Amino acid sequence: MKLRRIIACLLIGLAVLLLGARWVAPHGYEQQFRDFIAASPTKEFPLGTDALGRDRLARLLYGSRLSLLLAPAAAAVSVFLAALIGGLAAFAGKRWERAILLATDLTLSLPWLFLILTIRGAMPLDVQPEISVLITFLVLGLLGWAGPARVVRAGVKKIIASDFVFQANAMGTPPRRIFFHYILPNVRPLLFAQFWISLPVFILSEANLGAMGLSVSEPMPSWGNLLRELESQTSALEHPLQNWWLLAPIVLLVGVVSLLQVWQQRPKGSL
Amino acid sequence: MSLILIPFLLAAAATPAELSASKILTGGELRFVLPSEPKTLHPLQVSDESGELIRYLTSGSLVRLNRVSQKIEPELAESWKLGDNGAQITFQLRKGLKYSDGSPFDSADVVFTIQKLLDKTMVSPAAESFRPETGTVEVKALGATTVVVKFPSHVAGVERLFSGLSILSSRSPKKEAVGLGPFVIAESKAGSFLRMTRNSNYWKKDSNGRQLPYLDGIRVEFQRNRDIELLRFQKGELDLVSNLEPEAFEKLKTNPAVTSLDLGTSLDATQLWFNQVPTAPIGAYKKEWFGSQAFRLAISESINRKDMARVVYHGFGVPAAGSISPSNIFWYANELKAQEFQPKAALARLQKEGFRLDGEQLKDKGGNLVEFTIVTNTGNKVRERLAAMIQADLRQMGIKVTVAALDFPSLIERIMRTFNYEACLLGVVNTDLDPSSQMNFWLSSGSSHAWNPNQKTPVTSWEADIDKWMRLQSKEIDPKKRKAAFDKVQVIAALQSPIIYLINKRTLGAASPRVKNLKPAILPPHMVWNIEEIYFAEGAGKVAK
Amino acid sequence: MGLTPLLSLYLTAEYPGKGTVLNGVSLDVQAGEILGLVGQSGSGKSTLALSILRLLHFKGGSDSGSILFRETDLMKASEKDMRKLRGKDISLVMQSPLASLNPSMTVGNQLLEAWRAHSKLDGTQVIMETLRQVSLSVDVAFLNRYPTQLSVGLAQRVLIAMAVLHKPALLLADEPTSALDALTQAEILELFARLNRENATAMLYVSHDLLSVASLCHRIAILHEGRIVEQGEPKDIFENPQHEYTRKLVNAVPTLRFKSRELIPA
Repeated sequence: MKLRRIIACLLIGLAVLLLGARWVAPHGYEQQFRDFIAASPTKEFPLGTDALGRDRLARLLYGSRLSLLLAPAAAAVSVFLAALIGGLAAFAGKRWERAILLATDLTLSLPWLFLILTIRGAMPLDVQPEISVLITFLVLGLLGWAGPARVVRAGVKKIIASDFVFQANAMGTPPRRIFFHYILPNVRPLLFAQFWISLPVFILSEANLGAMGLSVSEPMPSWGNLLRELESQTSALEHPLQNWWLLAPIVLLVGVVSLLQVWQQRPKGSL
Repeated sequence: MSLILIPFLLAAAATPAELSASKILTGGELRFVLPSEPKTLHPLQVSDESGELIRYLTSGSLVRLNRVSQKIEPELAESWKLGDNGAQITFQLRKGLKYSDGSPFDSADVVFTIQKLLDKTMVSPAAESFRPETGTVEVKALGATTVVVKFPSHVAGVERLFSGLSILSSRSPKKEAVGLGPFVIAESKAGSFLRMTRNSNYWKKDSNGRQLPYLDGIRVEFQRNRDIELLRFQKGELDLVSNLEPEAFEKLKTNPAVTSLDLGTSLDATQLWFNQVPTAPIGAYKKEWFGSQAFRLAISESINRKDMARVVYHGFGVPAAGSISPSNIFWYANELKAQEFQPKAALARLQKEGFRLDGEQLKDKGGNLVEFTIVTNTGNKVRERLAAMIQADLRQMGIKVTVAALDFPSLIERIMRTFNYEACLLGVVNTDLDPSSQMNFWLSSGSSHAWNPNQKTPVTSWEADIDKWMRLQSKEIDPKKRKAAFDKVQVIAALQSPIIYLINKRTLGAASPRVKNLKPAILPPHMVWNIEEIYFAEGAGKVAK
Repeated sequence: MGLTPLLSLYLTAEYPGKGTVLNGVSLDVQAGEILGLVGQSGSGKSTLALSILRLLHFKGGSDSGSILFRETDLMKASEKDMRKLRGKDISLVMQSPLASLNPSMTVGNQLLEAWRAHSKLDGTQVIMETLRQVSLSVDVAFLNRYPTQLSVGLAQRVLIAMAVLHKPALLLADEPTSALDALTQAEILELFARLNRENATAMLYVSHDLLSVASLCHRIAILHEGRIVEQGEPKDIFENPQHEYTRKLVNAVPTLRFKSRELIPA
């Protein structure tokens, strides 16, 4: 499909740009040019500077890199957990299934914000910003299993009840072989789909946390705290064209999330 | 120290004396916003900012602090005198005053109020400064217009205690719902608004003999979101905004339909301090740095306060010299100067202590990398920016700073109970001019002695010195001698820098141009402390007869 | 014949909520014989096949009675013994060939999987032979295909190949031609007949289509309302149906009453 190829090219191009942030960005993301506070774009600062005189382009590149690297990791963690828990629910009999469904509902209704607050409060203070952001994403990942687990459970149950698993049984195939050769390979596309669906969710979750000052700590940028700056830039939202450079993070975020959405809606066969 | 600068105000408002009687208009409703609903309306029990403001507008006190001159002025008491070495105060009350419901006011009400305040079964933040640690306070009436209050020992600046004390009625069946203030509460809708109307029994009159207040009423709405507040103010739906952030203020300044008010340097300061608690769960070598005067001074010298004022406060902040803001006219120690930015001197000072630069990184004499974590609270943009600037400044010194933003309860837990922190960046709000209110902070035995609270005996000789001067200050009656003693405290604090003071921000506000006779001040309630004299220029009201 | 039958069963089966589907069904299948089981849809034909393999619980049903296969009662056999038996001594071909193949496994691997279920030896030779026997191509390209790349007819042949890989004594075919077009249907019927001839595989051929059953089977049993109402050779069933239901079935068979004389120019 042509569209998907274009999107893939765009995403790969972005990834290359971000990985090469050190060479692309004219300055470090933490360098403060205190004589150029909240400046408009110039040759020196292609996207202007922020309230502390830091190069917006550099902060956008490094921040995007962080979010785009860690969101997939968190998505992978949550889908892995979803596979384990959802699979267990489908296999382990009625009593387990009911218990797990209850746990899933509880997790979905959990005030996860408080959990993150508590965990951050309990973390040692001298953790590096890199580690703290890693933990934030890990927590997001650990908490994100419930939704996908439901889907996995339903999917696995459908596979277990399928004709080909029945056929395998009728051939006398041992249960272990049925699990590894008949069920697992057919759950995989389901897990991939869940991964792609939850990826934008994690990107947005980090942005939300950052908007509350709960994600990355200074001076490290992420989409979250870049977006948070927009809070006080009401004029940017009133006159978007005159302040286009302030909106760069939001444009990039929306862009990437939509590209991922379109990309993962591939025409797919059975599952 | 010069007087507070109120450039815009001078242009915008004239004093009533300059105006002929016919120009003053009465009537109209003043509208502004408070961030939250008061927890209680009981004048003796208010504990929050909103409650305090409503109390101020609806009740009367024996004396009042003039927020501009910062002097105590007569109010319900027309005079007072101190006696018994500053342990006794005698008030002479005004005659013929009436509460809002018409019930009369006399000495019995004052006695009733103070006894109620001293009742230990009542929870009252206002009572804390009244209740002495040992002994009892006695209050008695000598006739209908004289009240004597006797404390067990001398109380420094005793009259100011009465400026925040609302006098309740001992006779009115409506109890604390009636007041002696310019306004009475007329209507309130939970979570939404509170409406006050003028107290027709209010005792004050203007120079032309006209009864105050000029305004018909006040409407206070509760709205936490400051962006919405600003938007509504600019649309003309509100008459006043106060405590503005510099960014918002700058935006309002460009609006010709608004009078922006720079009220002057506030009493509040942002400060950084290192944990000096001996039992704190942090590395021994770090405790050694934090306990070293040279280290603290070097950090102080490495921070560029002028950049902070310019970048973070957009120029609406001044480098802070100590716990007392220059706006505190009487108590500020004139010889204090804010620390200049001197990175070279700081490095020399550190090297003398055995620190050395290893490449780009500073190490102590034991070879440990110099790095520490600053805790602060989440959600405060200004403070986060200050932290980022400290980070950048200290990086130039080879010091690595990590910033950890915590939610407020966990921050308090760390700095007050577990002492599991290295350095803390916080803002301190001061509402009281008198240093007596800072006793608990300065005394080494104090529970809010931030860097090392609750000491049994002072750990350092300079803390012992501060203890000595603070106690002297509190025993002294002569204000000049008190000031001399407290100046000593300020100087020792500057020299030792247990607290590194960063910035006093300016108090910023704005008003609609139709609001006249504002006397905005750095002290709360900044814009409306002279509420009875405020009036509308046109439109809302009618010409007074 | 007089010999002990290969399979001799007496079965009652039910589903919770649906009630009794098989009510004391009694059937014998002789070695090498093709027995056709005919009944309406929902008459419990498939249930019978699943019961014999002791897999009815998969579809939520329960059964009782006895299933004597080579004189052992499968009702009393352990799951482990049953697993050894399934696909090796008794195998199954189901009615929806495409859904019965694992979508994420190539044709070759599915055959291997079926082989490995009962043998540790190298199965290549046997698989090749079997493929040839069911008239399937043995080239690599075909073996590397995934089920989605097969036609229904091809898929059914693959399933049959898997079912006869171990040369079972009994093949249960549950409506194996219902998903196929008429031409392919005829080919598959022909294939079953050939397998029966060449391997001497006994078959229980379940279908609602009396005509196709008649063309293939040695004997026919009619299942109605959970019971066997009539059994006999196709000729007897067609010419002299005893039970009323059988008569209905026979009358419903479209007779080829086109005017052959007009078609063939005489």
